[in-house]
Amino acid sequence: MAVKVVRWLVLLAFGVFFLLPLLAMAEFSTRGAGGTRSLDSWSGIVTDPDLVDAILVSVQLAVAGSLLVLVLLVPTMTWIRLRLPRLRRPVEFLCLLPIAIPAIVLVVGMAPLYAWVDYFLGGSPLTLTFAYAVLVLPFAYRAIDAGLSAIDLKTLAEAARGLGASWAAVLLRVVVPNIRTALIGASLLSVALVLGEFTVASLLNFDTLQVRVNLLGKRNAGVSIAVSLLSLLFAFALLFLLSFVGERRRGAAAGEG
Amino acid sequence: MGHLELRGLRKSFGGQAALAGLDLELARGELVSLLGPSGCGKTTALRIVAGFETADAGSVRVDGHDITGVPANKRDMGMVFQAYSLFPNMTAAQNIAFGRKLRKKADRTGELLELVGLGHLGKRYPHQLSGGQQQRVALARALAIEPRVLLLDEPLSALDAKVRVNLRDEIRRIQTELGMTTLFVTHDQEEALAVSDRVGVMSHGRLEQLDTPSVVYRQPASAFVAQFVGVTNTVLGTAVAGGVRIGAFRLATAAAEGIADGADVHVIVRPEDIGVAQHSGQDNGALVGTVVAQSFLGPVTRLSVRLAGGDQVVRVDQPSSRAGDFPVGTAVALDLAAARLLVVAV
Repeated sequence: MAVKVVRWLVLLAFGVFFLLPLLAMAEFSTRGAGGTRSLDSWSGIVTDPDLVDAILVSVQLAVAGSLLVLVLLVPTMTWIRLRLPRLRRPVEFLCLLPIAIPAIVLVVGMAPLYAWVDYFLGGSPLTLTFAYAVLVLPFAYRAIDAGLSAIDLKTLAEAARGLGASWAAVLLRVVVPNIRTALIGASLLSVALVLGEFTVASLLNFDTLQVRVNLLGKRNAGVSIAVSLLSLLFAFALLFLLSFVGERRRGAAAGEG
Repeated sequence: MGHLELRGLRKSFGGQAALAGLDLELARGELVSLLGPSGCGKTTALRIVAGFETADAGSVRVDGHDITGVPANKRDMGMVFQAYSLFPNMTAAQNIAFGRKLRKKADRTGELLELVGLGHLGKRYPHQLSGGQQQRVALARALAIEPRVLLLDEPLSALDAKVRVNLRDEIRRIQTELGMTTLFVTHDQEEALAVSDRVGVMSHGRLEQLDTPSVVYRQPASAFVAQFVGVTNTVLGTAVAGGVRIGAFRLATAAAEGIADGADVHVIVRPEDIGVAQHSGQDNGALVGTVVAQSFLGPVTRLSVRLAGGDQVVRVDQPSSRAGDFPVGTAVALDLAAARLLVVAV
């Protein structure tokens, strides 16, 4: 009984700790003149065309960044585990390196490169995908590594090869479906990181959601807080949706017996 | 020309030779087992045939065609692995259909599920199947691609004893029914002897002996084969003219021919080839000893007999119905069936 009470108290404490700031943001963003409630700050999000553009850019960057890092990492990590196990530690070190380097240092290194990127690919904010792929590398690596460790990759790959599968078929029909949860986790971490990233975008002079929120905060605190809350809710919704999809698929798999 | 031919296969891992020139030929429809202890090279040989390892030297031929450099996915080899290898994201039926779909061949899943006795479990996922059922599905999946050769890499070793015996008989039935050339790797001698047309006993990357199960068991080509296949006694003796001497006991046998008189030898004999009788106490030149332990093994009871005048212990099998005649402490005289001895110089 005492354990149960402690559990509930801990849950309550954490609930308050996480929910209180969100409630405060909701309260602040709905303040109207003379102590009334108003949705002006929220409606300001959709009426600000720059903000809408920034949201769209950030969402595209989140999707493109996640895809790029998955396309890079999944085949590489699979190949290393199957054929080049000696490279596993060096590659892990390389992939985890960005987490130890401050964003400002990364930007200093990337700025000259982005001069070339700008020259060859134009100044689209979507070119930030390359920088974001580097930033999310450590998180995606860890998630995918855990997924690959959870399956008998060597045996499954050999079984598929023996049955006539090309390496592409091994990846797409055997490896990817069996590390789906890890891929969802990696994607989610990538999306959350990209949606919240400010330093790199700001210093490279790209107009993303967080850059726009920062600018708005100087001009209209209410809209700024509303957008911040919206992006947090969006990330939560995404998390819920992705975990729901993963669970549903697992459930469907189990239910077919 | 054999259906599957391995010629001079060599493979080393980090300077350690796993295969040291393996030659093997399988006739069409034949089941050959490679038997040996861990590290003897049997799995390496199988993996080279499957295309999962590349040989340092030598060749693999099927129907006379050299497939040594052909990638694994183009070899048409059906393989059942030691580890459970079904694709977890697919049902049993989808696993079986996988290879045929890749080849764009007509679906035969139902027929194959029936063949392995799992017609009703096609919709189950691997985690909903027992170990034995999973290996049956793996067998059906390997057979589904109509392989040129079936490769079995210790497919029964993860199963419990009863399932293992049932499934090994099933494998033999299906292999015979389909006339499938099969290379079966195992470290379980009983398994190898029970299902094979021929058994190849391997040691240190080489075949020590390749013959029918009864010949391998009854006429082992070397001390290693004798000791690895079945239970044996190895008794230290001395070569003498026309036979061997063990302590005061002299045994006339042709098995010691070619060994210099006075040389130390090992006399290798199986427990079931030794006769036993209560010893009268008279010194008539028999090999005598005392029963020091009994192990009940079901139909037979194994007596441990310490030989007189030394510490050597010999195991002797007796029908369990007679075991009561030889309680622990009984003095016994042993009768070695000379024709079934193997004598090797130490």
